[in-house]
Amino acid sequence: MSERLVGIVDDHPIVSYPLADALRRAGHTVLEPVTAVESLPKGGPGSVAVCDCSLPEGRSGADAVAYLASRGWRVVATSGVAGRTQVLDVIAAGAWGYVEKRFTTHAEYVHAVGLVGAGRHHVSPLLAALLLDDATARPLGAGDLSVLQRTALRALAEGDGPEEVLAVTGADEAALEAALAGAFALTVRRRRVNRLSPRELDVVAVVGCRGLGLKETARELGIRPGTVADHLEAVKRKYLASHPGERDLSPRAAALRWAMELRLC
Amino acid sequence: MELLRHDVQAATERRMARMIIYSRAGTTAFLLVPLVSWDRLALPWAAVCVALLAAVEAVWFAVRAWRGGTLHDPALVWADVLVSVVVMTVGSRAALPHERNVVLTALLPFCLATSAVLGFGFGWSRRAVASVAVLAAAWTVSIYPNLTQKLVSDLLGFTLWFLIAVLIGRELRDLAGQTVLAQRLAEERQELLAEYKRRQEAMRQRESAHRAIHDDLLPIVERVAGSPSLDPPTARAARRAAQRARRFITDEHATAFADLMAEVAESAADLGLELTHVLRVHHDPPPEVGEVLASAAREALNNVARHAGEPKGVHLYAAAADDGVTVVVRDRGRGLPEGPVRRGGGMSRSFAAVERHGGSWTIERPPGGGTKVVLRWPEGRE
Repeated sequence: MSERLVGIVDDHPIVSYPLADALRRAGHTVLEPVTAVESLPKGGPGSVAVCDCSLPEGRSGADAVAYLASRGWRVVATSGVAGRTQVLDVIAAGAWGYVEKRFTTHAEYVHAVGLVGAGRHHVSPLLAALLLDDATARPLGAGDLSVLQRTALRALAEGDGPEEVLAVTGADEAALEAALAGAFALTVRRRRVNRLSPRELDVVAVVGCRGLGLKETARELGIRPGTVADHLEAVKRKYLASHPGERDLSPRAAALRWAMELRLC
Repeated sequence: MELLRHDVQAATERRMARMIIYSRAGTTAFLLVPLVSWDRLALPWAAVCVALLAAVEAVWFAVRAWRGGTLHDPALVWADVLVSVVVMTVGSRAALPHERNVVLTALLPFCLATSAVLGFGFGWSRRAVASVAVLAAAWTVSIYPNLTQKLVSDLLGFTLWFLIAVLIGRELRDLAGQTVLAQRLAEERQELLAEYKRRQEAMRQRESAHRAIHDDLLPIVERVAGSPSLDPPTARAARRAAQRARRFITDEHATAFADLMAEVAESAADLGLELTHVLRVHHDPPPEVGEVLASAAREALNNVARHAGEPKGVHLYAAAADDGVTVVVRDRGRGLPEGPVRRGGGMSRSFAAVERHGGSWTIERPPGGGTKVVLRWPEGRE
């Protein structure tokens, strides 16, 4: 295995130092573990950062992953507490893989860092299941997961190893990697579809934060009340689509939730 | 909130009704005026009858509108129109033909009030406009042949009183509607904010509980579990505790079947297995099917523990949707010996139960080594 630069961002030395040792034993050049993404220097080609999903200092979660990605790191996200939404959010932010934290073995980290360093994605059984479930919860219609992607993710979720996934899908290694990369890209698309437009954000700010009615909002934004109502419907649809498990709620409630979530108030 | 809406709008209706009750009562008094010049009247008793009729109607009108609290009452409006027409046509007969204008001047306020009743009660509608036209026509007929320039101002009076009543009614009702809307928006927003804060607080508490378990408890428990100096029962208990804590902090969907499979996963610690698991439970199978599948999964894990040798790594996968269930137990050990796989052997007892409940099972030896036990329900599910 070729030597690569590996960074570790984790606020717990009990986790980060043993992990650094394990990765060094596997032949990697490992930087001193840090507790915030901002403390990591720029990464180079093929360098991999193992990053905890919830960091108390500086950027955290999806922000942290996006920041590291912009600084030239390929990120392997990890956490012991992240729920499915948080895991999918860090994938959408550009992580190349996700490892569920365990304290007894570092085998999966070593495997994941090797894969990702070589430009391939690491899909743990848990992540494979989450990607499949995400497709059910937020279907995209045309261009969603292909049969190859579904078969591969399903096999990975069931615990199949690399050669078994190749056997069950009938694909070669390059095609499988392309399929997995495509599945990662789809999580980004699923979230982008439901992003609010600038006008919808204006409506959310006025209705959600200030609680104005249709007519006042229309006057404030210089549009017709009917248009405000249309925007509010879209705001509600996008909220429900991007928050699986939410029950039906009024457009005004959706506007308020968005406003709070996006910290517009 | 419905109560509030009712309150503001009903109160506005009530106020408008009272305004008209007072006008109706006040204008009725004018009907006594012609009786002052009793001797100059052609039919004084006609004037008395009209005044009595108007008084009775005014009382009835007051009682009904007061009780109902609204002018949106067709019977009330039609009765008032009818009485007004009678008052003008019969009342005008009390005077000599060339003096009708004098008598009708006294009756005018009473009849104009009817225009206002129409404006508040029917609003800007075809029946209201038609009624105003009827009033105007009846007025013209009543005054004939004593036609003067004053007739034009009388007819203008009927029209204006009606229009003003329509406009005032509309303004007041709009105002009430806006008040209700504003109150409703404010209350809704308050409720939403309160609910949002509750959710935030719940999430914050959950997160801090999770963090405490994950950061402070789990590392220690898992370290202890992995310690070679520990006696096997304690190590097992520690592994099981770690599994349980992990299950608590990752929000796995809590259904009966998910709980059952999570228990199966926890029990793997007792067998000394290093288990990873993925549960995708969206829809529970019937309870007895769930039990049978869980028993078979347990059996498969037992066999892994007995036959697979080192390493004891094993993966449990369970997916349950409305079209059925798939359970996979996958180990990467030596692989099972040939014997127990045979049907009728010791292993297949709980597997036979799966078949009895309409499911199926297979055991494969994948190229990557180890074994893959797949349970499906119903049989033939992919």
